[in-house]
Amino acid sequence: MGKNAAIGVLAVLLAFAGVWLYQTHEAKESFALQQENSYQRAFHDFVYHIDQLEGELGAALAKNGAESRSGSLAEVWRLSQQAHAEVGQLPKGALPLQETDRFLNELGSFSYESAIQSREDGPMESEEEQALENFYAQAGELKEGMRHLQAEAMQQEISWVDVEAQAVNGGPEAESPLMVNFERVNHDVKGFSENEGAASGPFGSNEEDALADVLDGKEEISQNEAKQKALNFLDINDRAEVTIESLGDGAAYPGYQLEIQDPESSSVYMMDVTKQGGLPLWFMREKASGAHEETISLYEASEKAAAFIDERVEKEIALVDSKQYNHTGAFQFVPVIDGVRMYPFDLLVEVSLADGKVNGYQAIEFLAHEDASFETEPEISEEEAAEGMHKDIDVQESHIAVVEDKQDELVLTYEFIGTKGDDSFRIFMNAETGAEERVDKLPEAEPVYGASAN
Amino acid sequence: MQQMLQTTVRLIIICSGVICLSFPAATVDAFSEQTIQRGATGDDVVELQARLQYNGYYEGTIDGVYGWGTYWAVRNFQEAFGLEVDGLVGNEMKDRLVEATSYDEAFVQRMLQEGRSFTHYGGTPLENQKGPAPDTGSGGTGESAPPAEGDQSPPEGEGDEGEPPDTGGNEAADEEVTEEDGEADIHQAMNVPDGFSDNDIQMLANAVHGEARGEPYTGQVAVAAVIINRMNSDEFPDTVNGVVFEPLAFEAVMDGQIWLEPNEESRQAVLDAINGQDPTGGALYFFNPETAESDWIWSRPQIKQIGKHIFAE
Repeated sequence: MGKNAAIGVLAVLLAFAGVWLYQTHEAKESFALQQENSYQRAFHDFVYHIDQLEGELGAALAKNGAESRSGSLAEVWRLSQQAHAEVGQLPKGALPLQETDRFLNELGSFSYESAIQSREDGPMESEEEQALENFYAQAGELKEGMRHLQAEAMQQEISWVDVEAQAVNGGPEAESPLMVNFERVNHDVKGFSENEGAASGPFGSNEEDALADVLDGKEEISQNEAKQKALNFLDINDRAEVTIESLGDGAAYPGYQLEIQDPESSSVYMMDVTKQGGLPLWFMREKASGAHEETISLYEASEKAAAFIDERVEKEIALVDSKQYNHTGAFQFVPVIDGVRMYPFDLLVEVSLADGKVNGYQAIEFLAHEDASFETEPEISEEEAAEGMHKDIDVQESHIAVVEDKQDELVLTYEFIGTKGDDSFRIFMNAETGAEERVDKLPEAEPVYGASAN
Repeated sequence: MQQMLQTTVRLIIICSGVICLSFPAATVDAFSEQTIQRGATGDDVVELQARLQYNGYYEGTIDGVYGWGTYWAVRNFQEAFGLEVDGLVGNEMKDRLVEATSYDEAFVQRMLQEGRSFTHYGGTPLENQKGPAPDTGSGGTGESAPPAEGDQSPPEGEGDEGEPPDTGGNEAADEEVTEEDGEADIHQAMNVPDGFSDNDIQMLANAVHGEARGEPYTGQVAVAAVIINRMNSDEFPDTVNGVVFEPLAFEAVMDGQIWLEPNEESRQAVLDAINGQDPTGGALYFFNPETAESDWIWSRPQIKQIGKHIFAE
């Protein structure tokens, strides 16, 4: 009897376990299916947009009227951005799509620029025409390749979730024929974008080259010298404990990485110094614990930041932005040459409002352009430049400044800061041609929506 | 409009004596010693904005953040009162402000605590300048303005123009609600770096916390910097969310740790990174050498190691 009861209980338990397992399995399945569907959608949308892109590029080449052509180019721009967004939704770690993505970006900025220009200047210049031809040819190849991959994927009923899982586990299937083809298509796009020589990455090759120029010819220093330089720069005495090692190959410049324990202020500094010349490019101080009372104002902090730079840098600088975040003041300085503000070569300093010490220092842009020379004589007067602005802008402040234009070239401009209604704007007018280079709406403080009241 | 404003200002100057009497709660001199500069936040800025609004120089929201709107108000005040026009609020300007205006600190602070939209113009009873309390759910008026929108037009003349649309009848009820609630949203604002919303910062803080909690502070800034470097790179999506939620990009997204509540440290790390701190020197990838499974990641040119993570180009 007891035996039978036990069997009964066990059977019921077993049945429950079975149902539970089944349900978990179902849930997993449906989750994976959802994931798969969103990958499928992204992939097929992506191929579709590449297809359209190619067609629209062809149309742009055939069009003669400036307006209809700029319409086509605007369409190209929209499609390339859409395809770019769809690449971001695919498991890119598993799919070789980096070069394709880069191609889409380049095509995007190219088509945007020339859409605007072709409205203004009528027929295209031959150079531009050539670039467009190249993009068209490349888009054609990409379209072909992607079409094949799409067909292959559909025939083999490829599951992107499986592809993703294989990539994560690094199994041998990672080298399936489909992946090999993917590699090939992606690689073909690469050949093209390299021809174009476009920069990418956070440090455009411009900065890297400029820094290399500055460092060129400077003597290489030893670890001990670097250590001494760092301590001098931070004004810390020699008793501090320092560890130092070289930066890896991936760094933008040959350099040392230092960790400095300052017993006096009981804080830790992390610092990067170049090997050549021992220039301190960056440092940060790990906040000493407990110090969270503000003892100085943002204004005092900005004076401390300026004094810190003055002692270490010979150039004239101007404070262009200051912001208080909790217990830290963040300051942006730019070099001033002959009264001209050099915005792209900025220097960032953070000061703790608790103890007034410098918490952070970022000077790569600044040092990379240390000996940059630039035309600082405007060709048109401030009044002439101001005429080109929207008539409702009420100018409150003006300067002469160098900024980067859309092609990342440096241009000399008049900077006007003004208001229109309740909004404030920063406007840069070209000091040679009078063209409106940039109009930025200046952000106001953001209300606390409740996410993170502090 | 401009003329109206001038009339108001004149009106204020003429009867400032009388008005001062009608603000028994006004504190005499609450400014601290600091020189107030653009970008500053805190009670001194609240007082500055309230006082500038009192005599019509500042029409924006009193939120305690010295932004551009406040900056122009300060400069216009400096110009009108013959001070050096530099946007810095030093002792001389503070003295002038205190002479020319009145400040009801108790009222303003209470409004901020209760999360109401409000104004602080002189010449109109403050009770009429009080906005509705934020909708806490049980109020049910459905009309109360969200705390974000504090922009009310300045009072024009002596009427009750400063009065928001739905005060009056349900005012008492509103107050009850906030008292019960005790934790009302504070009608406050904060500085955010250009181009990022507070919600972006929050999302970044989540990612940093999920990926790098327990790492040294610099390591957390470094992870945030990698995300920002990706946004600026051609090979990655261009938005915070695009980068963070890119499939296979971050372990914390794959295993759900991104939804852990971030702490203040990760938020601070994100702000540092957005403000330009990049401990990685331009890295686009990072990995933990002890757990990294893919060969590919080891093939990236490495830049440096911070804490447990290796950062690579």
